[in-house]
Amino acid sequence: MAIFIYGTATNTGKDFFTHEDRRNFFLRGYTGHDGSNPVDVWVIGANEKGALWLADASGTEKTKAEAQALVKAADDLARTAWDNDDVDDESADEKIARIGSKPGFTTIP
Amino acid sequence: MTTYKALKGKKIKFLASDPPAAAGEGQVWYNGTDYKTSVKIEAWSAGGNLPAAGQSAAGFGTQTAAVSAGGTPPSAYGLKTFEYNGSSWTAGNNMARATGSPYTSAYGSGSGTLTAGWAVGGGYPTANNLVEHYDGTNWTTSAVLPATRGGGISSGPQTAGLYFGGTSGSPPRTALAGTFHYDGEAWTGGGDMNTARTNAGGSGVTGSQTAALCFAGNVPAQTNKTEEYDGTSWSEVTNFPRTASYLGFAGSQTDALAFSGYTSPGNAATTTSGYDGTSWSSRPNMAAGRLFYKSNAGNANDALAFSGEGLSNSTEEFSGVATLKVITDS
Repeated sequence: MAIFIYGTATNTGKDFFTHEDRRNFFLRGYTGHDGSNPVDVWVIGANEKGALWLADASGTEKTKAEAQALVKAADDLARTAWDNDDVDDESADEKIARIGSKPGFTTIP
Repeated sequence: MTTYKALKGKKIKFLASDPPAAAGEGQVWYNGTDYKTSVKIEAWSAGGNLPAAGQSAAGFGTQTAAVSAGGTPPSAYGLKTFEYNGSSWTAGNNMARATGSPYTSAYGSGSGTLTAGWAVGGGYPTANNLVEHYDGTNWTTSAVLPATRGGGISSGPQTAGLYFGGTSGSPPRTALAGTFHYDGEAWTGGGDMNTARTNAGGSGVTGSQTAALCFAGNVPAQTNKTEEYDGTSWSEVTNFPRTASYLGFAGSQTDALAFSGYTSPGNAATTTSGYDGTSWSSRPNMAAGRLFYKSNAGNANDALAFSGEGLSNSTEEFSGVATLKVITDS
């Protein structure tokens, strides 16, 4: 039996997920942009309440591979943005102090 | 067969009526009908979305009356102010500083309330020493910080605040240990932290000049050191559970919350930790990780996290509420 459900759903704001949702099922979001479209990937605990949450959120179920590909596209854009975010005369350590280390690649559970 | 009294040395209390949930937290009693207890139930939930994706805004206020000041990108944030009412964000008046660099407000920090807030420093590539007050409608400039700073922490109210840590205004941007006291009109020097750092977490709007907290951050390597301030000097206390920086934070020296941020190498974490003045404990994770640049507000039981690198325009609200429960055998 699968442990997680994978899907995309647009975060609509207040109460998109509630305290009760968080207690009822695992939920982790991976949000960014792939250069053309927003990326809103959600990894959801595979129980009845989790499945109903994705349906109520008008979400679209994805395979794990499809979800991972969307997250990688967002990571690629974030890494490119980090490479391009340079300030004249700034050392590598100063850049890290200013904007953090270069983002890595995210592996979804 | 042993009894509860034999194990614990006391009988379960009889209370004719239930105490308030907060007062009864962690206790067990019998009220003539049920065996009851009170436990704190904690979780993050989704808050209202900001109008645009952004990061590095200065946050302050409470979970239901918060302010986002400045930030990046300049087109969406810049000098803009947004107020949160617990459900949605609305635009307020712009910050008062001259426009200058489009990033003049980025990486600043804020503290205080929606009607008596204050924002300090920030800006890149060169940080500034600007200080502004917010009255719930307008921003006004105030006495500048004695030195240029970005990435440090503002804590406490507008008339009795602190600013500590951060980096200097221009290269080389080394992490700094200094503390400044603010009375709403002028600044004076305080004690130095034992570990100079920037991009740290700490006590937020509910900190004070005589009871502040600072944890984690970049020195430039990430640290897990935690320090407490008593108004004069900083002392090292129990280490933060992980080396990290760019954390979100809320609360005081004796009841603090730390959330998200990241540990290098890696991506934004969803981890949440609590501090009770002695030790750190694990709390429920956020739904989505992000890197914070002081974009947080509230206290340890009602915290607010908004915007942040690695995310779009979303907001999350943390609540810890003591709740009465009937003890059953199922």
